[in-house]
Amino acid sequence: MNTTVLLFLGLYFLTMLAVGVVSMRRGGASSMEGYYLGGRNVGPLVTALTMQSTSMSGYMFLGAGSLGYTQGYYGFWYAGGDIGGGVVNLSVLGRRMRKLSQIMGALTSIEYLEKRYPSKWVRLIAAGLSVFLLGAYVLAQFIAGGKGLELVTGLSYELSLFIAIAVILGYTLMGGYGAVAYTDVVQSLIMVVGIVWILAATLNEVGGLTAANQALAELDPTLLSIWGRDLVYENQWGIVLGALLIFSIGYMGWPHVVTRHMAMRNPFHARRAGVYSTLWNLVFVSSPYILGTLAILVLPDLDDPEQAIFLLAHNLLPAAVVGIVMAAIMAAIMSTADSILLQTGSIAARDLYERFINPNMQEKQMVRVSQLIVLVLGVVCGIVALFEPPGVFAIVVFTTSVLGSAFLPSYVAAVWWRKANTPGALTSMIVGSLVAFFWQYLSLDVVTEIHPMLAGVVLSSLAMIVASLLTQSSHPVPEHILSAMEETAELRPLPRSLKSQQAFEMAHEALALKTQARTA
Amino acid sequence: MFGLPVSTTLLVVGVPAIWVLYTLGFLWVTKNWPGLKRNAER
Repeated sequence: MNTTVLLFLGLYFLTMLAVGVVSMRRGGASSMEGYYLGGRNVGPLVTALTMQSTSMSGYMFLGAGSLGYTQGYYGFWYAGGDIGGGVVNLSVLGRRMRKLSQIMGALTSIEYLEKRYPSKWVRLIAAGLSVFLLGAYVLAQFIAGGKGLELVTGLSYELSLFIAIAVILGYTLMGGYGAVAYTDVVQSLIMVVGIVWILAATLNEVGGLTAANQALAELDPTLLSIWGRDLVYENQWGIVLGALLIFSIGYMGWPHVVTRHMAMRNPFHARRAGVYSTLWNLVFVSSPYILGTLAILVLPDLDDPEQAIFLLAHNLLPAAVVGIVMAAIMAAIMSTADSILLQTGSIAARDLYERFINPNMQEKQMVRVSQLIVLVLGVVCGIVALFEPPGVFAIVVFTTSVLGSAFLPSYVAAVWWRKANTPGALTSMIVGSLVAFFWQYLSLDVVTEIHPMLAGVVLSSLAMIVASLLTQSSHPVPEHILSAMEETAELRPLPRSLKSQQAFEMAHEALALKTQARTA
Repeated sequence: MFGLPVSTTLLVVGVPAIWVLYTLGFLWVTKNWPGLKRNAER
């Protein structure tokens, strides 16, 4: 156990908790909007960095490095899509989703779906799917956090897991979305510093990128190919396009990522946030894939490719710097775990418990219930993580494609297509999730050479279009939603009358009554 | 470039370059967005 490394990690954990305390004092847990969305008062830089660090989990330090190590430059299909993921999300959804969610008084990204596509089934299916998949994702991140800390500190897995979860729960419970967003900023900066440092050290070790590529070509020229080692993916355009899509447009279907739009202080901040996202991604995203590939030269006999980046740091950097890199790995895991934990807890509290079980709570009461559910969820996931159930990572493998395929058309059409209606959204969610799941489960990607994400998004989009058009006469989009969409498209501040609907008392129950009164 | 085949160079350099152009295009298209002052849209 290295004292310097421990010192860095201790400092890092204390900083995260301090951010939680500051967020709490700024009112992060005093109202529903404060707890779920940071009071819709998040600036463009924080929006960009929380969006990116939430999207990039521990996978970037473990899975991406492993992909580079096993497949060489093929991994850049994923990196290439990932670099544009933030700006695509912000440019397509950012401003409009921020405005529409405020007009409709939606506090979670699932509640937003029900208000745009009025049906309790939209809420129930979307919330159930999200809680199940994101819950598994939280569990996987906890296990990764415990394992990472165990590896770095030498502490037992159980104690490492407890420390990681206690810190995450500490600041998430105290400060809600504000704490999560601001800790994400710190964590995203640590991630960049850590990855750049180790990249510089590795490039120095291998004599620069050109020399490294020449050495790789002597080992196996296919490592430099875009088709993977031994050209295993040669001309499989359905696979590589899916790899590009999964992170470039897939984020628009992730409930915990699109929530970032709803929390922006100003809808027009999407513009600057998009630029910051691209800049951060240009520095960060490609590095883990390059490092994994370069590790072939530095660590040729690696048993576990997922350890490539960790072992590069361990072998090439002085102890003090290893501490920063380890903090970066923990930051990548924790910045995703906290966001998903808060989002899953919010969906369980707001979209399931309050919506279907106990709709008559006061606002303060609801905040406490949300905190309690986040706490219970964290503790339950922590206990389950102790046993490291093997099925967890099997579920997580499906999460990215299933969430993206299920929700992407519904979120995009919500702000861009006036004819998108409730049957269209329901059909799209069901078709998207089932296709993405079974495509992967039955290994249809091997048979068809089409990535599950590509198949899922194409078919769920078609389902949205066909079902919406076929049911226009029986299920027209309500007038108040069409008016809201018109207002959303306007380049002007929201009128005062529309802003009032975000108050807690004007939540879904009141809006439903208002709609019924209008209809009557 | 960097000892890579042309197709790999296009993937490694070309795709990020496309995203940079996309971002610049987004900035250009939205150059007239109003309400960028602090709290103007709250």
